[in-house]
Amino acid sequence: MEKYDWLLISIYIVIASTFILSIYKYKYLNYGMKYLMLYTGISFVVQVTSLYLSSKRINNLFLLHFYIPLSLMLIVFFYKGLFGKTISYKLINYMIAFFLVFSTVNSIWFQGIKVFNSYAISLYSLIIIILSISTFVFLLNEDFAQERKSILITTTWINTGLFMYHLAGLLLFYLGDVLTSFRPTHFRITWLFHSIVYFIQFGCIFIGLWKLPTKSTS
Amino acid sequence: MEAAHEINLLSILVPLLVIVFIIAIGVVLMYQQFQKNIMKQQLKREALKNEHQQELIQKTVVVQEAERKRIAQDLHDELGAVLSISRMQLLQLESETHAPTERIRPIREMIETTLSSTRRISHELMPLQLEQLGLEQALQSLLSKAANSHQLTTNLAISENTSELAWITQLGLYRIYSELIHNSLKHAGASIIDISILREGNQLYGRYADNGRGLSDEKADGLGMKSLENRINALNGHWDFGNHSQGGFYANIKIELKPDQN
Repeated sequence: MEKYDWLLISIYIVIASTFILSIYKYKYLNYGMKYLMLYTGISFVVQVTSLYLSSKRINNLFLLHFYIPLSLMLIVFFYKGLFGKTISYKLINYMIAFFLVFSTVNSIWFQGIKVFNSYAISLYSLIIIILSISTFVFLLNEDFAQERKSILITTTWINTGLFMYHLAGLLLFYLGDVLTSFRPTHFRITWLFHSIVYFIQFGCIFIGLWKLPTKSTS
Repeated sequence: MEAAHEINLLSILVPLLVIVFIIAIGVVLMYQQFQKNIMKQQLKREALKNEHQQELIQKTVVVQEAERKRIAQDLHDELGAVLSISRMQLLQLESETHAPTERIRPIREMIETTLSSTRRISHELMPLQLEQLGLEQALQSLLSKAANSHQLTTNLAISENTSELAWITQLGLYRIYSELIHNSLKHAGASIIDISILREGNQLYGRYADNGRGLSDEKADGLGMKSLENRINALNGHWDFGNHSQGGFYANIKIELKPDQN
């Protein structure tokens, strides 16, 4: 896998850059984007920790059992800030509560913390895909887009990044077993592809934050 | 040696379709919520806009009436006073033996005409009787004057508690009815006018009817009726009007009194 080390390094660079950029633009971030900043920071920490544990040959899958519920909360809060009053806060809160319960039950009774939590990750990806597609649809509404005019470009980039990664992730987790049943080396290809879309996700978030106007936010 | 695996296409496609279906349902439900809340927000914005417009109309009417009152007062106090003094001085001059009365009298008569016009204009701008005696007396006086100058039978019924109405509400009602009376006499040639004003709690019901020629379609859309409608809207009311089947014009006014109108 050494020939793909450049990809791993670039992932760390892009996540770190995105987090630094979000800190730099902190005062221009609206309510929802601040949660995205936290998501970026936590993703970086988890990535570095995961690499460290892997280098010490320690099972790092338990990190996902904490990272996934936390990520969902932060990303859903980002969307909550974006949607404003157009989507009931109760629905958002129920969504988070349901996932937290599901994820906890899954980690305790079904897929222990030393095992890959594919059920929770699949549901997590499903929720984010629904939210991101809904965002694309909502942005077609003139009033909705007009109220968010100043952050329209930023929102579109960030939403695109989240959508692409979680859609690709869901397909990868779903089709991963099928692909690796052909040849074990396909396992590497699926995880390589995952790394690429992970890079694209943070790349899109970086571009979105870069294009964030620094005069005022809505 | 690689193991041969059977690919069951259905076992791949069906779960994939289920996932796509779940995503589609999720998006549709989100969009329904979104539509509902967007409509709610739009309605709220419209209601707020109407409320502001209503407030603006009311404030405009209040400012207009205050200005009229000021002008009426100035006409009465300043111009009226000067004309009265001039008239009295001319009368005094006329009574002197060597005064050229044939030259003074026309001047005195002109001043009296001007004084009378000043009083009329002042009264039209701000009816003193309304301020001093209230709505019922002011309308009674208006109808009496109309009956004296035209062959007219008038009926007026006002509930006692209308005297407790705010000054601006009474003034608004006075203006509305005086305009309706003017229309009946000038355009409809009516010989009977019925007016009733009933107050029940926070609701005010006004009715007007005459036996004239009725309202033509052209006049129904005219500026006069629009102006009346604006006056009624400024009082937080609405009205309907039309022609009786037996002939004549009617108007029903309903006003929902706000606390500052009581």
